[in-house]
Amino acid sequence: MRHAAYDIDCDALVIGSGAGGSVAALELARAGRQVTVLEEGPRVTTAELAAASPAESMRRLYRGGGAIAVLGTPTIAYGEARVVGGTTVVNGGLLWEPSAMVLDRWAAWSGYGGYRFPVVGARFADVQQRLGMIVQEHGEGNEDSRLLARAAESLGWRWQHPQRVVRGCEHRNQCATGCPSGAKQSMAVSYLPQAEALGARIHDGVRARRLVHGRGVVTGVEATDAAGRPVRYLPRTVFAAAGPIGTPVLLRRSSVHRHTAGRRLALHLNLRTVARFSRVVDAVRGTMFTAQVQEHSGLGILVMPSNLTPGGLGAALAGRDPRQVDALLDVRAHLGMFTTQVRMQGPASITACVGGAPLLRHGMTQADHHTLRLAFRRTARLLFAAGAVELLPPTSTAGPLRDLADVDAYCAQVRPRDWELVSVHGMASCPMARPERGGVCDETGRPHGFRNLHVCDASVLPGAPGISPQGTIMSYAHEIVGRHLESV
Amino acid sequence: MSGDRTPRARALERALYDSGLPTCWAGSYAALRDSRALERAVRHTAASLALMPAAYRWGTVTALRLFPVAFRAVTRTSPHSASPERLRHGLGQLRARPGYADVLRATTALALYGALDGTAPRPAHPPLGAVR
Repeated sequence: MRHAAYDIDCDALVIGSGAGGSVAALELARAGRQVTVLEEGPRVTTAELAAASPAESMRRLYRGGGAIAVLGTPTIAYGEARVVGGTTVVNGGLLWEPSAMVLDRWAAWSGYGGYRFPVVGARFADVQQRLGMIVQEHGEGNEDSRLLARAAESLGWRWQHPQRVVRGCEHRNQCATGCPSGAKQSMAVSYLPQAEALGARIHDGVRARRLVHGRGVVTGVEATDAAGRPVRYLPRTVFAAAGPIGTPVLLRRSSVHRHTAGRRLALHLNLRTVARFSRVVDAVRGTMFTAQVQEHSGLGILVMPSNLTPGGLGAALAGRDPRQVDALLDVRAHLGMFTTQVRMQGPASITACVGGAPLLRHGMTQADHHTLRLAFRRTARLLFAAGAVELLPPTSTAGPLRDLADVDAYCAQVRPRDWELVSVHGMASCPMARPERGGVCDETGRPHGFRNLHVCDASVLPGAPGISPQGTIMSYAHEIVGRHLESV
Repeated sequence: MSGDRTPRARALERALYDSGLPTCWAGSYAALRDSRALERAVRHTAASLALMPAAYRWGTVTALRLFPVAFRAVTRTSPHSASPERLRHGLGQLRARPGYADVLRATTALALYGALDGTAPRPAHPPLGAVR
């Protein structure tokens, strides 16, 4: 049976409740606005996270159950959350400040100079203070991080403890499937409850389908509520923060910059290398990671341990011969899994929507392939220095590598299609830049030509910052909302 | 929870069992040999596939439907009745085929994840004496 749409009048409507949407919700509520937040995913409590298995949480918290593919050569697995609090519920709670160099580069490319370090850095300092950012030192466990840090020191390479937004981390190693102790200051336990205390309402399970607009003004947002009924919100102001995929899909479905929104999506790529050590590492013990090697950050390369779980290890090995998988799972106390993050140069894009779902493609370039080989070489050198006796590169058809000569031989033979890559950072799909430079949004975050529509999530960033982007997204969102509030 | 027992997930569970892929997993991976682990693996794989965007799901379901034929083409036996050695050989052959490589890696990754990380969570509090 088809239901007639019912209308809900509202003042400020925020679509999405992640790092960007939560900033908009809280700042607008603090300014006395009546705020309604739409979130497609469910609201999940810390108690529920503690009671659920990681596999259950993976299905409940991640879009597409965590199994979205970016098609191309090779296929890239892409992960983002779909829950009240967005990806901040399942990330590592890392908070890095975007560098002045990156912000200057973005300013030069975009044609907008208002988001350089003095502005964005001040916003970041505010976020850092509000979320109680700490430097996460080694806890009980974290042997993989200790080994990595010592190896970096032996090579004279720069490393750092991560900056995280946690209060009393219990080192439960479940960051990626939702913190079971509530220590991680995701938006679900920080900004959003504060916004609700100021009167904001969060409608979970509601999917925004289309913006209704005319003459540059959004007059309605058509959505589907948690019961599957059509609902129409009638807002004065709209902040779109549905994520780097969701926001451009919403804009395109609404004929807002349909030829530019989502045509370019920047990704960070993760290479996963499994390392076997002669000693027990017990990498499941400890928080996600407590050391990040930043020696090659200028090249967009970062190396850190992964959030290792038995299932995560099994999944990473799934393309290998079953006997090898069995043998490795048997010695998992001696294994560590390490992530090498690389900034991808070739853009990805949303090519189409099939059955309402976006189809993603990427165009990895030869330069990316070269960077991946370089990144793997540096990672291998670091891991051998850490005491690894064997490395399994991110190519299932490649055998174990036991020294740097093996690594050179692997890098000489590996083809672009052989890489097994993961991405959890999508950005810049509706970039803030002048229209003639491919920009979708202006300097106030409004899609060009619109007066009451703003974009304030990862999609508005002009590019990939080369670091975990939560701090950058939140800083931009604060600035965008701040400019809006000053203008009304 | 999370769509595990939706009609779509149940249909995908049936499609998985019909394909013979769980038999291949049980015969090939020690972690999936135990019937409860295999059940967790199938349930997680089916429930995750049920959540995938339609285009990807259709592609995977088509590959699953064709799996018995593809397996027979490389081993001349059915995945439901093959010996463990044949199962490993068949999976190995199909893993090297363009198209099937990605599908097998993705579904096997879901299966191993579901089996190994699909059990009851650890206690809410660290054991006595643990340093916090």
